[in-house]
Amino acid sequence: MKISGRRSLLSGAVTVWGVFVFVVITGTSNGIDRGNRSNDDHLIQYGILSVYPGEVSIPYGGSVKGRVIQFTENDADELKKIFSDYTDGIYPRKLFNAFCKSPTGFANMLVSDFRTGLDERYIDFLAGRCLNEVELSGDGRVCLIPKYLAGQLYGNAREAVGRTLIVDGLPFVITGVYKPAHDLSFKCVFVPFKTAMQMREADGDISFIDIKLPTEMAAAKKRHLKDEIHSLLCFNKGLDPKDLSALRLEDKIEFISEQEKFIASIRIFTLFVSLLSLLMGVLGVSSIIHLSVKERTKEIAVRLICGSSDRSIFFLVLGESVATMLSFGFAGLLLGTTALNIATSVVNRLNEGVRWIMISNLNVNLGLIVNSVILIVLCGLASGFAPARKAMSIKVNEALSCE
Amino acid sequence: MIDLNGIDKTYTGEQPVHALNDVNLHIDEGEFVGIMGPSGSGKSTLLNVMGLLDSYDSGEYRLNGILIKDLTRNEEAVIRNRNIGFVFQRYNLISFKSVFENVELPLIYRGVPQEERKERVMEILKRMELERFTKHIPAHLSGGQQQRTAIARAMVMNPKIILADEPTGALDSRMSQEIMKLLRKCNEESKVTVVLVTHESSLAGQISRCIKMNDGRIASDERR
Repeated sequence: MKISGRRSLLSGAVTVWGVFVFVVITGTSNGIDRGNRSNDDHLIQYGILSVYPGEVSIPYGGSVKGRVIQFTENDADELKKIFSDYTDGIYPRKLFNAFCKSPTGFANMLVSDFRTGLDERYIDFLAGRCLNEVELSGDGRVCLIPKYLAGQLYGNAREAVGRTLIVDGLPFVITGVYKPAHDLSFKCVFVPFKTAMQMREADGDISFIDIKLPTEMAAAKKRHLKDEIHSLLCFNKGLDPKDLSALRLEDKIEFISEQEKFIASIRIFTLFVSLLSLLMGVLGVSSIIHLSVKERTKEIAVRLICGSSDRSIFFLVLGESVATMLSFGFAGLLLGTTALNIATSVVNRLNEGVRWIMISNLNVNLGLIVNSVILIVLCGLASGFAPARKAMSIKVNEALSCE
Repeated sequence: MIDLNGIDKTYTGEQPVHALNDVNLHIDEGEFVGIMGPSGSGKSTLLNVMGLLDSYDSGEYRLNGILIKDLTRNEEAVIRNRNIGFVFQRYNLISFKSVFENVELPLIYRGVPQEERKERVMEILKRMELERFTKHIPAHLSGGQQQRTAIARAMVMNPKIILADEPTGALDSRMSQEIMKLLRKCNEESKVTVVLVTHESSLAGQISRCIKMNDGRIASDERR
């Protein structure tokens, strides 16, 4: 009995571990999924196709290898002419590095033009206001600065509003201080487009083009539009359409779909691992029940002579298997949910103030608990089936003569 | 009650054992029958066949007029539950269940309601003078008390037959006499047919019909 007790304990531990791993992996997988979904929500609502100029890698027409491609406002205008009916806006963008200073400090910063409908969604205002329509359409020296720059140069966000920031030697009035909505947002000094272009007048080029796609547009149509834009730009710039480094079209929709594929493969893998763990649990409980039937052969025979039907014996053993699986399974479930709750509190603390998150809310929801219990019961039935069949085939006279 | 006609039973194996050889036996309701004989004479096999715990190869066995042949295990279970009570040498009580629960078991399988079960179990335990031990587990009882519990379990269903396989084999002579008296009491008061296997000739005095077996055959059948 002592040996079998130890064996039962070991088999039970395997079951507890199996359910624990199942709960933790499923919870974590859900957490990753939740994290990514929240990010996807951001990306989907933007639905932006960004076109970046690059460098020729395949000589084509007059273009030699190594030629640096430059976009001008004309390129954006060309696109507007043809595609404005199919898009929600086509915007030339300017982005560059600049030396920023205040009376108390300095910093090297990215400066970008600000576009209503694009950039405002990436930022949360902490103090002051956004640039208004008049400022945005003009070339005035007004700007928005990120929270950390305000802290570095003026002490805090409120102190910075209305103060002057010197950008590349030119004075700018700070109208507002913002916090990046997530850690992939640019942390830059926003100025009106014309102002940005004037500051780098010598270049004459733009940094890239943002194309805002209608959110209701079907994915296939978006892909088609992307191909059309790519073809037109290649034609206008004399580029080989196969030259992937000459033009880079960063499609957030495609990024999401790629990411979804990645998440799906992670989910399949984790499901496989957790099911494997549960299988170990099933084998563990099955071993316990097999042992129990072996040890209780005489008791089962006594039940049979007392008038028990084979069916009653079958369900008795099956019931014990489910009860054993449930007791060990609940222990695993309890340990798993505790581990997930601890992990969630840690992860959520780390996620504070960050919107671009990899993982969030690993805590087990009711659905996972219900699914786990159903799965545990099914595992109990699976574990007990073979021992129950064995139990119902016990021959009374043989069992009772084995003294 | 019990009709055995030309019963044959052979255990197959490397060396087949002819356990029962053309056994013909008729036992009436209310008889107190002892089956005696040396070891390997077929007494226990005969009892097992009577109790539907083992099959037979040829012949015909009728229990209460019902032909016992090619029944399913569930049909056998129903017949056992309604007609037969078993008493074994080693008591065969469920070790982790109390005296009350052990005696209650056949009633549960019969589907008797809880209140009635309680009433019937207490009544039979009183008759067996075990009412003080209802909550005890078998390990806390003496051999005689355990066998009395086993008899109570056999009797609780008001069976027509009690089949007892060496019921006194594990008891001292005083306890053996006590158990025999109890079985005799059941036989007389409840008119239950008792068939017991024993090789203790000292108990033969309590038996009203003695069947002696040898080599799987009935060697003698004496009524007293």
